[in-house]
Amino acid sequence: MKVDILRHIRANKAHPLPLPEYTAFSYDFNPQEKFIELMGAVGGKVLLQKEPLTLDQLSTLFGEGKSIYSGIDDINSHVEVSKLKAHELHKIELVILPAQIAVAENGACYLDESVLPHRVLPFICQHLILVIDAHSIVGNMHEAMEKIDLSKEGFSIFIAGPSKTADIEQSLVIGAQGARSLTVFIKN
Amino acid sequence: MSKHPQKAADFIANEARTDWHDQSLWVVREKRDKLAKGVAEWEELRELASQIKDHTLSHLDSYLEEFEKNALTNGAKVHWAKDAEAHNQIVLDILQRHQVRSLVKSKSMLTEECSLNPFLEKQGIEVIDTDLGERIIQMKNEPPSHIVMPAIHLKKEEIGELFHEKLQTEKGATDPKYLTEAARQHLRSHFLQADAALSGVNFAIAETGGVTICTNEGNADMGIHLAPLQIHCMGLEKVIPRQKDLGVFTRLLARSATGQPITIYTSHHLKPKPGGEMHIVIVDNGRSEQLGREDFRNSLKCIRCGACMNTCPIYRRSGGHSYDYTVPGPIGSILTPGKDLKKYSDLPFASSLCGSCSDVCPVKIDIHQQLYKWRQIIAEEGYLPKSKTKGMHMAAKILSNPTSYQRATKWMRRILRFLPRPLLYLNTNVWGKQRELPEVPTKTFKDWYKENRDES
Amino acid sequence: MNVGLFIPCYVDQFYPQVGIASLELLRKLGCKVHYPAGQSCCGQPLANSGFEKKAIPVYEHFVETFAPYDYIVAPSGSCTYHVRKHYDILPKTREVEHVREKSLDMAEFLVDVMKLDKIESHFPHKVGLHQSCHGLRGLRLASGSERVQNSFSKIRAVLDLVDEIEFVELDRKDECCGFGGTFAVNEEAISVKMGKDRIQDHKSKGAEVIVAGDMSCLMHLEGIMRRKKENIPVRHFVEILNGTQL
Repeated sequence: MKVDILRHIRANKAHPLPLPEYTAFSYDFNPQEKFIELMGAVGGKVLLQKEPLTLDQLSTLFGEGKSIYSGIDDINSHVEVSKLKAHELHKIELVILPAQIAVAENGACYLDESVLPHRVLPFICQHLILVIDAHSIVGNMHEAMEKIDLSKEGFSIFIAGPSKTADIEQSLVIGAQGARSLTVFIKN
Repeated sequence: MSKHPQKAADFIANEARTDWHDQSLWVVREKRDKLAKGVAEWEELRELASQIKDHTLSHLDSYLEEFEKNALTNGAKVHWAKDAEAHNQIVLDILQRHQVRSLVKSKSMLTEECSLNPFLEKQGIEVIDTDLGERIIQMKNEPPSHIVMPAIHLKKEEIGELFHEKLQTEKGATDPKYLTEAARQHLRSHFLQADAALSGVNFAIAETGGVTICTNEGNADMGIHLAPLQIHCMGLEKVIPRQKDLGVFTRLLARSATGQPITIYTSHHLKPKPGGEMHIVIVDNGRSEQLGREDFRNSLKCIRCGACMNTCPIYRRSGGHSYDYTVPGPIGSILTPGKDLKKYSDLPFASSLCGSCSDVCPVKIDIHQQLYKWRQIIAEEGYLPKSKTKGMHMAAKILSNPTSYQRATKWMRRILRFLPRPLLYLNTNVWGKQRELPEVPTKTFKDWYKENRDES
Repeated sequence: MNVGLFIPCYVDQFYPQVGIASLELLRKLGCKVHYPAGQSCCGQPLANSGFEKKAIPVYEHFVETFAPYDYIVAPSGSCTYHVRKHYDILPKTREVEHVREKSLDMAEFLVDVMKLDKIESHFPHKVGLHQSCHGLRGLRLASGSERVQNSFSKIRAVLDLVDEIEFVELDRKDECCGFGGTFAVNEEAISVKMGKDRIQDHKSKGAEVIVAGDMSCLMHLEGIMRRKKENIPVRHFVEILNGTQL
């Protein structure tokens, strides 16, 4: 079937048209300020601080005694993901993951499988916390694409807020099938 | 009366609901405008996206081969389907090989186009659509009325009633938050039990061999990562050359679709999960044929954002179901004639040719020009009523000859001026059903000019 | 500069005052204007119905009629657009290319060729400006709400020269009125609904008159209003420029 389809395409396609060359578009905003503004607009929270994230802080934000998976050094994990079956993962309440870069123009944070003991973790948890270095905030998607390599890991993702839907009469509801909240911790 | 006009008239018969539908979509259009205006280089981005797609389509065979090669290297299995039937069979074979009983799906207009769900259900496989809007219409046993917002035609009261019946929510409950939470719980149980997950594809990147999927709910990722088997079905026009190009398209897609800067999740699936299997099904189903239609090939640039639906004054007032095809609205009206010219011959006429669709299109498809061109083909192929063809033939003769034009307009003016009102406003006068005919002045401009200003 | 005035068929028949205003205005501005009597129609109704090949003799007649003029000016964005855009199926002779290139809508002619910067006209009314689609998105007489660019409108620019004129701010500043040629009867229900919605927008903003660059849109809107006996008068913008009062 492949051969037939490709033959059909070859017979039918247009004369070769050029692939446009382009470089990243410039911008006139401060990436960190813009990122914080965007996160607010999509219903995410931002913590901006010099000091490392602490368990106390998490308890204040999410309540005490939550089960936590942490992918950062400053916070210890309560659960060992590799020992859980996939369908047990939804019991993890807080998942903390380091993001490689964040994109100011749309609030998207990028991470890949290298920080994921299981791919479903950022979706199945109730609350997601992403940690990003302030220097890793880029202006727009063009810059982001220059910095990442999608062919490195088996799975990678941009996350730009808590899971949401507007499928019922266009009313925005936060917390559809994925995480109910997103907090981005920017290390200044 | 042919199909679209009749269905549109039925829809409009409930004027309050039409206004509600129109306004819901207009709000989305306004959000899109606001977001687009926040990007100074918007028009340049549209031009870039258009050129990247034009280029890709003109090298489609080599990009698909590059994509397949890289996908295979990544450990995915790649299948090719020439039509809907082949696609459905391929999916069924994969599922049967894995003894799949329960399949979760995220939104895929391609599988709607191929009628995959009923096909699999007949084979005893449980299929659960997991996008909230899709789940709603699946439970209601209706086709989507919009490609991005499949349940945009339903009111929360109707959804509340449906959920009460199917998900045992409280009777009379209409709060979207409450209803969404009920769906979340319901769908999570399916995600955790599913044997396989199937998704559509927004962009397949030739350079990486991976597929990109954009969602807001996170349903595609929940399904794909939990089930051991993942299947991604894509139309063959979904391929883009490079990772770099994804930067351009992700800047345009969600802004155009829903007025968001980007979808909440933009995931890139490159390799199967440890211990899992990943299949990619590349589907033609008429696309390579459309590629051969010079005037219409650029309809394949479409990234399925739905902006042309949201802006279309006809779509907003007739609803997606009036188009009788998976992809409704302006883009549907230029895709369908290539599939079945006779069946869809009414759709290119379901437009005032206002051109708004072409101006919102993030990949600059000249939609309204293609509507115009399909009209020419439909007329030439003889799919218009004979009376119309004859009338047009006569009009052409009259309009190209000044003497006969003079004579004909004289008669028309007499009829309009002297025919008694009941005769003038017979049922056959469609214009006059809800509108007055223009008043006929005693003199035409031509008459006036001859008397007053003729200097020749 | 020899201007050939093209008065679209339905304007000739139903709205002679628009033709008169166009002619008078152009003459006032010092143009040498002639109305070739043999003219009929641009052929758009045929072509939009799918019969552009049958319209070729109509196109040819148009080209023959207007080829001798330096400019072909019409009080219609829609007809002008049709000539410029869709006469591309004719052989590209010198005459055809000349007629296509030099066909201008009144607003374009006044702004781009005549560089109009003042006018003797007084119109102390609140105007609802309807942006006819073919002029707007076909000829780019104004920046459409869809596109990201600096805002402009050629019709608005010339109307702004009129004394004491005021404009209402519409909710949907450039949505189609639903006329669309044969669309008005093919899709009667939608066409009328679109018209009603446009009228409501103008009415609710207190427009005393609806003004546009195409009488076809206004014929449709007027037809709906007259049936409902809620008459907001309609005017072509050249009538206002030429000093017509309500």
